[in-house]
Amino acid sequence: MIQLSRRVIARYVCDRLLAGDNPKSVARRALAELEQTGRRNQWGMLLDDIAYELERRGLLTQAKVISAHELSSGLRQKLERFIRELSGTADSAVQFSTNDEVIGGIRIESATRTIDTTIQRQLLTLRKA
Amino acid sequence: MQNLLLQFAATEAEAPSGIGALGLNVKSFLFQLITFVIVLLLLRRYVFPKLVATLEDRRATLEASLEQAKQTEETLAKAQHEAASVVAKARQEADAALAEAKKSAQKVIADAETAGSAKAARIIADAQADLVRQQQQLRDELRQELTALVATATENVIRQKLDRKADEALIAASLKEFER
Repeated sequence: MIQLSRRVIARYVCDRLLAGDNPKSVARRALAELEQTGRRNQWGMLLDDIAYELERRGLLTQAKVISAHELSSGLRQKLERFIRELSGTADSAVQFSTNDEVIGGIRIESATRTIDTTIQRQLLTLRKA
Repeated sequence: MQNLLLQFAATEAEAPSGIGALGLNVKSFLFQLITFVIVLLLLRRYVFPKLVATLEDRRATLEASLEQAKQTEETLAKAQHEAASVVAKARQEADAALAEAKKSAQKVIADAETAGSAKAARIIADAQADLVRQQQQLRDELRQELTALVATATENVIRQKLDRKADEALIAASLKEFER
């Protein structure tokens, strides 16, 4: 039996969604492919691959923004615009969260890149030097 | 024989004349001559051969002994000469062996000194290299500890000082930096 790679499945999903197929049926087909090849536990990874494919095609950027404090709405908008410009996509879906451990600054995680300007990372770099 | 001798003796008692006047008794002389000849013949027949043979044997023995002594003397001289040459040769070999042994001993001592010096130099170099390595290691450890202390102190200060407003300003500055 031929086993399709997750990247291939992700590309198929993107193609079908762009073609206007029902997202639920496309998802079911993708899940069925994973189940048939005993890779049901890789569903989360497949979602990451789909996000990567969407971002690569310049369609959608899914990103997580982590900061030490709650960000104002103005700063959030700036960040969303920045993320779209950076990845060259028309649309973005940004999830904002806080974590005291970063101390200050932000970390932006998308499917294709990670930008980390947190104080935590800088201190870690200092410790490793 | 005794009668004859007495007759001859009586005849001599008569007055001497001719040769007798000179004091010579012919009969006595002849008697002595005959006696002499008889004794001589007897000796020649029975004694002289044995005597001569004995003397000859003795002479031959003496000659053989002399010859043997001469040969022995020659052999002794030859042996002494050979012994002297062997002793000389052995002495030469012993001298040569002693000189060689001395030379070898000196070489061993020189080699040992050289090896010892080289080993000592190597030990010193290794010790110095080890010292340098330890110094570098201590410096690195000290630097790491200092860095950790500085990082911890910085973290503590920033946590205290960086409020929400300052954090947003920091984030805005980072974005401007990226946009540039």
